[in-house]
Amino acid sequence: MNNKKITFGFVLAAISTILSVVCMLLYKPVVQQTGTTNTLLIFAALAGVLALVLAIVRGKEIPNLFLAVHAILLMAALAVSVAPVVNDMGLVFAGLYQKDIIAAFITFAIVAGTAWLIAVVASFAGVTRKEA
Amino acid sequence: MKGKKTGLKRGLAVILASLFVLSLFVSSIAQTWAGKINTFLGTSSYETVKTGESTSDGIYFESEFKTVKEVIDAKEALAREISQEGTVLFKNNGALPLDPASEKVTIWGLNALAPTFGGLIGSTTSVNYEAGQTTVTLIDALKENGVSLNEELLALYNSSEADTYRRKAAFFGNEVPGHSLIPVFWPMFETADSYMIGEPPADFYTQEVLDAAKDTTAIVFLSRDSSEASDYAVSTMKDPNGDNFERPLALSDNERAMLELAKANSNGKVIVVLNADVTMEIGELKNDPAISAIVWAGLPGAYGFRGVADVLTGAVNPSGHIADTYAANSISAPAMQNFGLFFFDAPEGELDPGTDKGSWYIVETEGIYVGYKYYETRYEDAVLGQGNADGGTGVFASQGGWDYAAEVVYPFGYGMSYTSFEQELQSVDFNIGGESKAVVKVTNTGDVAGKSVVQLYAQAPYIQGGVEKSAIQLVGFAKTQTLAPGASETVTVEFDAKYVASYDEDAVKADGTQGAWILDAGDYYFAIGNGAHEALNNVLAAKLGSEDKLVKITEDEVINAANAKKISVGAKDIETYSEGVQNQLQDGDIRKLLPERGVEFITRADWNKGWEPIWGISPNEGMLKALHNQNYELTENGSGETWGANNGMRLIDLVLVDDNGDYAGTVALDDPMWDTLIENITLEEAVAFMKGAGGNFDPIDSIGLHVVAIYDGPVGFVSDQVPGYTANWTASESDEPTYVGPDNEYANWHMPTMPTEPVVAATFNVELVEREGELFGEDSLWANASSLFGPGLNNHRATYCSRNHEYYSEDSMLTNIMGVAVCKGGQSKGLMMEPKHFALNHQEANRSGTATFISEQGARETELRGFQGALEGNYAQGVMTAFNRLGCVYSGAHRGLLTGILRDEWGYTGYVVTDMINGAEYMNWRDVTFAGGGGCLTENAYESSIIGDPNSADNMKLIEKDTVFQQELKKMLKYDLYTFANSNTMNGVTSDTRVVRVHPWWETTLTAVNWVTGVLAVAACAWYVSSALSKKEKQ
Repeated sequence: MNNKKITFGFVLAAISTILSVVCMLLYKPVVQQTGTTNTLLIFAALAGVLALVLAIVRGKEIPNLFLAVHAILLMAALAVSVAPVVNDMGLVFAGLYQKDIIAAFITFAIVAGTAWLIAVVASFAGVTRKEA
Repeated sequence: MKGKKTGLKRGLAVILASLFVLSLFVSSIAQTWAGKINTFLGTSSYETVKTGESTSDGIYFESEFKTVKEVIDAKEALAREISQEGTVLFKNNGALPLDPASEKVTIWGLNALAPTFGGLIGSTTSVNYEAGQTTVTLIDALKENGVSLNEELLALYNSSEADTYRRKAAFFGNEVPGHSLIPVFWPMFETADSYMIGEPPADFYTQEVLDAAKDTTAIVFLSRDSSEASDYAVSTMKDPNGDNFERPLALSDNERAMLELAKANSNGKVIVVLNADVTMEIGELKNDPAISAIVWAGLPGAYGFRGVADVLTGAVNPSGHIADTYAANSISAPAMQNFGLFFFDAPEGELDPGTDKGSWYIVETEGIYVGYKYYETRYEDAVLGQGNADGGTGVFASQGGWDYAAEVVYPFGYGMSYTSFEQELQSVDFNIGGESKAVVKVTNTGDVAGKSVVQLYAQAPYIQGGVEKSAIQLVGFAKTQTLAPGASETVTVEFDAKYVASYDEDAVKADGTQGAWILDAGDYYFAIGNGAHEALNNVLAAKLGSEDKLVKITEDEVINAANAKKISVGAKDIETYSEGVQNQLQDGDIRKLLPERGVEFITRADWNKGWEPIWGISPNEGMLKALHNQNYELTENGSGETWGANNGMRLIDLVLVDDNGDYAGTVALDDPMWDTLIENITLEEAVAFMKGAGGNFDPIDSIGLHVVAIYDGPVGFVSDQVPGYTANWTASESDEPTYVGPDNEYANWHMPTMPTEPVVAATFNVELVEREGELFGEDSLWANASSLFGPGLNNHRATYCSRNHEYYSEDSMLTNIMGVAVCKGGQSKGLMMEPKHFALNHQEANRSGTATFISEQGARETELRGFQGALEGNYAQGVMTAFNRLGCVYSGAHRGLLTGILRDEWGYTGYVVTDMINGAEYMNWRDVTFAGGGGCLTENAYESSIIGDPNSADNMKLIEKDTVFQQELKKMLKYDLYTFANSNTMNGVTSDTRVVRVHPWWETTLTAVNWVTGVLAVAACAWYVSSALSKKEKQ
């Protein structure tokens, strides 16, 4: 196991997984929350962790499958989280409302979107580590 | 190479699967907002079809007009008439009326070019410029009335040199002239620096312009804007252009400089026009002999400046009377001492401002002493030498002790005319439990025709240290017809003795319950006057037999003891107006929640008390529990509620038609047929309806209820919600007589918005206001929108509330009478008027979840009385709850307020909805439903992270077991359906009408995108998996 090289995809997957955990923390102060988003984030993080662990202990394609699931769940979490804040976003962009009401959401959304993008790139590269 | 190909396939699969997920959720969000999207795109998700079995035309409420253009013309004409009668003349040294034939006028004030027509958001002035509509400024209106204007200064104002100083605010992506950016909530201090008065400094004016103004009459235009979701702040607001002001409602340096220039460069006539619904500090204008006249125009809407011009030119004699007290210092009212941001002193982490929305509060220490009830009551006590009224506490403009003449500039109800009237109070009948009235003879003693307002006030006997009582309170009013010089009219002012009563929280009635409306034994005085102060002076003159100690603050004030009548009541009455009444709001009184804190309220017993701002309240355990919300837990508590009975009954079956086929109301609310109808609804439909009630009420297929459209706001349907008369119609409804199709010349005209509520109130003309309601109803018929979020019936607790333009007055009785009139008018056309914000929505700063602490007497006699007439009489068919809390409980979930008072005491039968959900944790659906709070205004935000979506499988399982909750749901549905059946939303519905779900093009497109991304995602995943498997086999 120690003879395996850390691949670009593995690093990206690790970053994306860490960011998905960060997303869980960032979502806490969001005013208009949904429980579904919290659940999806937990499963996304778990899928990422599984992808990394399996890449270390087993290799092959199974870790990549978990990485794909991780990316899709991240997107689902992001999409679900948008619904309750549509109204607030409209008012804020119109200059009529408190920015700080959705500031936490915007931070969360940026990080979640970044995590998803990194996961997509990692999916192309593959999370499986190569033999040295 | 093979690994790279697999990676490519895997990456594509991830992207396409993610897009599929995204597409699904976008569709879901779009479905939530289907009503708004349909309105915007002119599409519909439902169509009504008829099977042809019914011979009825299904038109239950008919229009009095033949075309939509007639409606538009009628509304514009009424807007002018309201402003004619709502414009208030404060001062006139003979400069008015103008003589258009001989006078040239210079308009001073950059803001005159872009005045504030109305407030932002709920009362936005609706004009579709592209369709040919336009607004009318005072400049336009004066020109229409033939006034010759000095164009030199107007040209300078129109030049780019003035651009720096122009007010403009962002509103849904557009810059709106006539508004500045009032600080949107005080925590955002950075916005306070961007508040603009909007007037340039003295050096902006060139010598050429000043020379051209000489020998002309000056009209100086002073403006303050208003907006929902913001408040004026005393200390944090600054003009980015360096204009200075001590307080935002005081004159700024640039405004004072402009006035000096106008005085120095005119023919000696300087007329000030006030374009503001907030009460500016104008004492210096009143006392300045060089200011010839002061006219209050308020925020008169898109067409109201025509009415103002009519007054200025003498085409109409002014007859408006101001609906608020104009104080010398705008922060001198007791309410202003506890207005703004006050944070609970709670253990760290205990109250989360984000989710709990329970971190802040206000204490309304003023009790019943709001507006003139403070200034005039303290005045009487100062005259009588009681309660330390002339002491040094609460002094803002006086030298030494408190002095009414220094503190008040113009009293509530004051207004001048171009003629003079003599009013004689001939008789008063005061019947407890019966009808009461006063008869007044009015004579025009001047030489100009005009209308006169008769204001009737009452004084109940105050017992030192007893129940708080205002020294004077408006109980009724009437307006004469136009009286020619020398002509007389005898008017009768009817009033209800129950509104003379005071609420005694400690009274115990015969049935043992506590809390009652009381009428103490003693001498009651009824008086008329040009405003509250003159009426009180008449009372005092009658009581004292002398005018020696009395203070006049206006030159035309006449003290006449004969215009006050004394009626003695022999025994205290606590039962007549107390049937079914008991204390319901004790949990709103901080003195009872935290007696150890020792909070003092304003009291006549000692005017030194109650002035302290109440900082840093530490909530006790019970208060914290309420502030954390989610007070109602779903439990398994029975079974047996019937849902989805499929018994064939439909809503239209409960609508009655007479022998002529005309609408004859509905089956009575207590008829069991309503229960049978509701049993037809499935529990899933009921929960979905609760969740979706308000934005537009969702349809209920099982009983044939189609979408019920509901929109803002207090000045009529506003364009950001109904963008044109055609927006809500579908082709399937084209056979209805008020149908406006897309090819109609006025299809995209916005519904003309009316003058704001304070202008309407200043008319003191009930007939005019009822007509306004009728024309709102006409808009409803021609725009196919059955409910209106208006009027605003909160009182003007503090003039720094920037939403006062949506509310009538500081006086609850004037508000009450106006509310009845406008709702009655709307109801006559089948429009469901929906007053807001019930109750105690007194500031916009941190409005979401603000805990409002108030005495029950204060709440009932000030705020609730304003709503009472329209709701108790069921003239209003809906009511919107407020963002704030009553005590620590969200107002939309306060059972004492909504069930105890609204339903049980007042007998209100209309529907209740929340305001926009600004925090699903505190405006949560369990508490709202259980308390009788009805449905929710914004469906998308109804989900709570703690208690989840009501439609979720878990919650549905809980709801299915909770009979108590289901019974509350049924109650809500019953009120809603009864109300709908009594409205014009039934127009076009007959016994053979069926509501059919259709799919507008945008919905079809989203479905297609879902399918395409879904198929591609599946294909890509299959491709990737097969590739991965084949790779594995090879390995």
